Amino acid sequence: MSTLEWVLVIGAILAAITVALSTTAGRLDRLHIRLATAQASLDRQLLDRSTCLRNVATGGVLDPASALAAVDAADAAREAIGKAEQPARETELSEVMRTVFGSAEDVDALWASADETRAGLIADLGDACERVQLAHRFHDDLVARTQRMRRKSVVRWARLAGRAPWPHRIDFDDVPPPHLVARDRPPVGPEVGHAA
Amino acid sequence: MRIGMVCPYSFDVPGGVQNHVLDLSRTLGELGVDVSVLAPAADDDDLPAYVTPAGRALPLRYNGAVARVSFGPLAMARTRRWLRDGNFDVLHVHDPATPSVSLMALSLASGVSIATIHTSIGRSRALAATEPLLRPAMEKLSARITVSREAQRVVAQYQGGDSVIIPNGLYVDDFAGVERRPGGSSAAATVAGDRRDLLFLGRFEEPRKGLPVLLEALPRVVERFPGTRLVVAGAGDPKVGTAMVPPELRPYVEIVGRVSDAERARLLSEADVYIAPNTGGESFGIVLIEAMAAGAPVVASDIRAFADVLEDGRLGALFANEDGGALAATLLTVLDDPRRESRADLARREVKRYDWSVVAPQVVRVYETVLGGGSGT
Repeated sequence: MSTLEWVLVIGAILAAITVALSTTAGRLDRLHIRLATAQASLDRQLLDRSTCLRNVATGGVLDPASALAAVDAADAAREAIGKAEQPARETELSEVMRTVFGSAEDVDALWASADETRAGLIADLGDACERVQLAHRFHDDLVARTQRMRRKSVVRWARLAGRAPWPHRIDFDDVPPPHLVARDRPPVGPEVGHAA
Repeated sequence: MRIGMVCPYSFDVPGGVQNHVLDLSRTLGELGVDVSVLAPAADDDDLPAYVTPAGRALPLRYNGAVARVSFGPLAMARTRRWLRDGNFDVLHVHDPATPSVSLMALSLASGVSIATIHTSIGRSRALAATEPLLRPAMEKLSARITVSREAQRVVAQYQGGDSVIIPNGLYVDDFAGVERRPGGSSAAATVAGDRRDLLFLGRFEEPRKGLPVLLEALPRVVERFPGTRLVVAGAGDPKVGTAMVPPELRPYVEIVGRVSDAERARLLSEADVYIAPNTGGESFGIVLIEAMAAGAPVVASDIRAFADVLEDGRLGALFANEDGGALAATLLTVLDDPRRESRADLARREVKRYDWSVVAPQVVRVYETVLGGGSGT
């Protein structure tokens, strides 16, 4: 091959490597952006869950001791958002909620006895719990995908992740009380419109 | 007279309120009062015959510590049944502002109810939201007992109104019966002249119990008395406790973990000084009374509850709260003072008024008063 041909081949290889690297960098960058969005969304859903629990607690649905325990747990969780103790506080909130609402029969009785306003508050909380579970799942899924991408040799050798921190799962218990989330409820649902 | 007594905290972790409820119930029983106690506990827990379990306790972050309490539908059903079966003349709840069975019993009660308030922390945070939850139950109280001037002040500030003070009780003889043998006066110490035994009691991992303040003061004490030995006894992980102590101080500190009541009495009898550096959140300080009953000289932070119990320094030395330097200075003064044992002797006589034989009848008089009768019931 002539010198010109050599130059052309090497140039083509270099161009291919550059394109490959920049494509990978772009994919990684988009993953990081989606991860940041998922993190923000999870925090928003957690905030929403604590607000809904507070509304239920102060709305006369629960006995006073349970209501007080729920308000305390909700406030503690809210103060911990974005801090190191966040997973522990959210786990405690889930535990407190399951104790406060009790068994599936207790929750069914609650639905049956709640008037329209209160049933609305409980339904909002159930929805919020479900959204927390979804946002939690999406967040951890993106963490796993980002981690897999960043473990690739090419990403590590070319330092494509730059200074972005290594992503971590957020491990907390997000299991809601039984029969609170709409999909868990018996098909009849709450009897709306009957005052307790 | 039938009394229904409610303790909001589980007995599986010892604490001031739990001990108070058990000892008060036992003493009232000896006085011929029929007492039934409701408290968070599992059915298979080992409990005195007069205690009804309200269901498994859940740990709840509360008042700067973790309280084990019961709430939810199961606890509510148990409470309702206990109240119906008990047919009590007086319902006596403890710490009703805690989210647990005390508040439940009070909200369900239809008869005469009174409360003893132990906590010294006002619910300042989120007060606007929680006050309406508490008010209907609190309005049922015919009388409120507080355990100290500090608790009385907090109740007046956050709930308004007045309360009677009946201090926490103690079986004084359990502590007074142990012979006093402080390390600083032992034969070996007289020769060396620098041996001093210091004692810290309490859950050392909790910052508000003040162990860090004491550790800050320790180097100056060690410098003056190289034979100093600090014993740290209380519920907690000894490994965590050791990690709290700077390496250069470790030879002088012994972390023994949780001890029995008898062991505590022995440790107190052997201490040259008992130190209570608690930084706050205390409403009474029963452990100060225990130390005084055992004849141990007391050095305590000047938080209100402690200043009250020590009568502003007459019965023990006080130092500026959270100030390690002030604690070191006070400790050195006390350890150098040969009269510390005679002051401790005065305190030993004064604490007799906290004995259950004095305190329990005061509670009975409250029952008689709210029932509108005299002593003839």
